[in-house]
Amino acid sequence: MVQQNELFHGTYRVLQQIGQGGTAAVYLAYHLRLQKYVVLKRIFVGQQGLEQLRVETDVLKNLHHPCLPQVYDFLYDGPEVYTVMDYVEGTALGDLPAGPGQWPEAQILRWLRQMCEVLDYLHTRKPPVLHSDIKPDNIIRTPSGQLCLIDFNISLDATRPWKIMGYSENFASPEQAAMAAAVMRGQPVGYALDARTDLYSMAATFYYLMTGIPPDATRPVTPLSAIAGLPYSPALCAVLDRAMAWDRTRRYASARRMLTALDRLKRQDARYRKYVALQGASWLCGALLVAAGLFCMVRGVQEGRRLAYRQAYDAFFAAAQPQQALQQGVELLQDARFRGILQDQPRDKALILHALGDSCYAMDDLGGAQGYYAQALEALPPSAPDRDVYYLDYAIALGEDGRLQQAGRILEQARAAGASAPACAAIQASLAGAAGDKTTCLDEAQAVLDESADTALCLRVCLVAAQALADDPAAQVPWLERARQYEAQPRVLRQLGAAYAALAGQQAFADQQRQYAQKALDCFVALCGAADPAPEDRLNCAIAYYMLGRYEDCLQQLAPCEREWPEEYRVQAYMALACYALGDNDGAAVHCSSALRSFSALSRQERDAADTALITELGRLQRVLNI
Amino acid sequence: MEPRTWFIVGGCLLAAGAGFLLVTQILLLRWIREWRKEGL
Repeated sequence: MVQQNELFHGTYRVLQQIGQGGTAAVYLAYHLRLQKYVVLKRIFVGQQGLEQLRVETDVLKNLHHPCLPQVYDFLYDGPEVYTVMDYVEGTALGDLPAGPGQWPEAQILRWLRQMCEVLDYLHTRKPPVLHSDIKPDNIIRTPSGQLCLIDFNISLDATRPWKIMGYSENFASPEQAAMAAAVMRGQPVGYALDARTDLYSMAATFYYLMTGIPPDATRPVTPLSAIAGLPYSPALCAVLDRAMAWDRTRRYASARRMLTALDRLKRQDARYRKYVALQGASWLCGALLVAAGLFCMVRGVQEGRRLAYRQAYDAFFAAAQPQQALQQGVELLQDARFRGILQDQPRDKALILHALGDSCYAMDDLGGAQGYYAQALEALPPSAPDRDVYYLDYAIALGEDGRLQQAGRILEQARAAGASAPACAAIQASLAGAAGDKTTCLDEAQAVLDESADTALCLRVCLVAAQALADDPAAQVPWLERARQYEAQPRVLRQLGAAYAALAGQQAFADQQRQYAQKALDCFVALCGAADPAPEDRLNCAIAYYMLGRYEDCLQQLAPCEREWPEEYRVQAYMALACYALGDNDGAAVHCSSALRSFSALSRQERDAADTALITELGRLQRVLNI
Repeated sequence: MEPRTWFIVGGCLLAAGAGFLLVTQILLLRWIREWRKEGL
């Protein structure tokens, strides 16, 4: 037996005895190495002590929970056996006052939840552990307010054969009391204890705390719900009444279930309901703000794309050169940012594709033009009003490329799609023109002009007729003039200027040469008035000036042309002729030499196709200047 | 509206939403912790 101030096993300084029961004596000791207070529990040998001790230590050594004492050591001291465990400082619930209003509901609820959690921990161990002796004296309230469950002297391993080792009156469950009585009488027991026994004892402990009345294990207690004047909510009373049901099948099946029931209790609390409502309102408002923010950001991205698209679209249609337009148009169609916009606006897409076809056509790329026109037709909505023009342009491109059969199919398609009679006549005119049948081409073209008020259609049919009359500038001019009335587009002006220039150069119209040259000049000046005129237009303009004898204007027009087009022999040739006409023989000689050098650099094919009149004139100048 | 305006408004709303959620959730968390100490 240990003595006060004795150094036990070289580690524990025994301070005082703090308790004695029927099976054990308890001492407070100080663990010198850990420097903390511990409990030494001495088991009385011969009073089932060793067996109980083994049970208790076997159970406790595997338990780790803030609401349970931790066992540290198991010692033999001669015939005596000791266990060392945490000293749980505090007051047993049995030493605290009990009765209605002694403990507020919030305190009861907090303790109940703690006890349910620790019981759930015990009952879910493998093997499950039943405390089987829960009562106010075995629950310590620590200074922090937390409860701690102690004294596992009669705890049971629920999976092993067992024999009842005792029970506490008042707080034992009815089945445990009945079992103890049967064992004492030597009668057989036909059932086993389970988690519901601990639940009953725990509820009985709280019953005592809330009412001040110790329950009686031999007969049912008055339910809390039936006791008048208790300052506790009916919901809490109902939970405890159910845990204390006389018939254990009516109790909660587990501590977890009871904990869930307690958690549900909080839902009835006004503060909790307020918390839930505020949570909902907070998430709703936050989500609305975030959603509105995201919406605005998405709109910002969309608007940015739309703006960029509109700028690219306008730049494309404002492009002066077909090459430039082609590049911009292809970029516009391939730009991933604009894919959605173009899908939403098929008419825009068709317009771009058609304009790309026009650019290819202007660059004499008939294959490219056909491809873009076909895609434009495919992209164009069936209800588009200018569908006729799309068919016509496609047919013209096919016809000029010699693909008359395919152009004929386009005519059939146009008819099947419900194209207007003038549109079909215009396609027929283009087919006839491509086939060399001038009479039919002109008749059909005239029919279109008589019947249709569609300026785009009329403009094209005039160009078709002019194209058919390409070898007769005099006959071509009225059609082109008419086309100019519909729209003075660069293509029309270029063709008209070329026709007038050709007429001015013909001997048959020598008396009107100056008049035609002036008209050609008007056309080319209009073309050169654009933002970025093509070098070819500048050159034509300069030629017209030369024909009219306006040599200084001619040189002025050729100066930028020389920078942009340095290898073009015609530029140098007309500069030489203009310089000579102005009496600048040195300048004429320089430009003449350059022109001859550029001309000799041309391929044989290009030289054969060259302007023979100009070359003759250049040769004459060479001789005169003695180069 | 100009894209920039949309971005500014959207950014402000997003920041306001995120800030509102952060502040209210912190307040509610502290609130519920207090209540839990009282037994809720």
